[in-house]
Amino acid sequence: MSTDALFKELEPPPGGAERFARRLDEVAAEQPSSRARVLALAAATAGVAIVTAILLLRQPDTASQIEIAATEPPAVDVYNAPELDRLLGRSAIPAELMVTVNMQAANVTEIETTNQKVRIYQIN
Amino acid sequence: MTSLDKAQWIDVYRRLEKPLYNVVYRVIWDATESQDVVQETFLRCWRRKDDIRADGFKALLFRTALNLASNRRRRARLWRVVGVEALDEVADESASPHAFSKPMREALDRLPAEWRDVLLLTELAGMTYPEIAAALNIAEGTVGSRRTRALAQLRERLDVQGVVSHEY
Repeated sequence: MSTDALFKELEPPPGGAERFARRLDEVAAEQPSSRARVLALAAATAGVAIVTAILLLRQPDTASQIEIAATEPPAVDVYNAPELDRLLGRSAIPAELMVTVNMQAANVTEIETTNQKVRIYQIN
Repeated sequence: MTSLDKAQWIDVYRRLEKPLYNVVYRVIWDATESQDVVQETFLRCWRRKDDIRADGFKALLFRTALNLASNRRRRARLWRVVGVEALDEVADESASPHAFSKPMREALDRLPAEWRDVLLLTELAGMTYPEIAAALNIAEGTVGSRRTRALAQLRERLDVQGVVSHEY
């Protein structure tokens, strides 16, 4: 079954090219000229340079930076903190055991166990 | 823009207005709107004239025209949904210089957009499969398969509606 009728060639309304020419003139008039674009670019570049210069001149001096750093708490080496040992798969360094009895330090002796995950201490 | 540039653009417009208009008209079904879309297509391409390659110009024109036509069609449908009948819908039935029955238009409208676009470009734009493939950013083989499917579905719908047998 033919579908030719659906695709028969149609004539566009007359005067299209003339109207297009007028619209083209209008659009061309709206477009900024190349000289205007160069001037706008130069102005933008100058603006950026001025802002950069102002920011550089307003940088605080070195002495005040040191002063601020001195008041801050000492930096903590987070990466080497024991809390991260297990997370990062590092073997943990056993902490020294401190036991106090009646506010006095007591001696402890480690008792051997077969389970490596368990530690038993005897207070002397 | 020099006068030579303008003259060249108008010359290209004169050469391609008709195929572009025919393609766009099958999407939005309004003569005035279709011509406006064709002109808008050229104006958009003119704005990008510094980036346009000669070998891809035709593909760019038809792709832009189809996109603009689809946008206008979508906008008209949106107005219809919110209860405001688009002007082109009102003008279409009575003032259109081209006579297409409603079942014919519906048969084409109900095709998937990607099939319809291929069909319009093969039947109305005089473009080759490679040109259509470039315009729609699809493989050449896809152009053929979509055209075949679109034509089959179109014939089936026109047969079901009795449009072809009764009117032609």
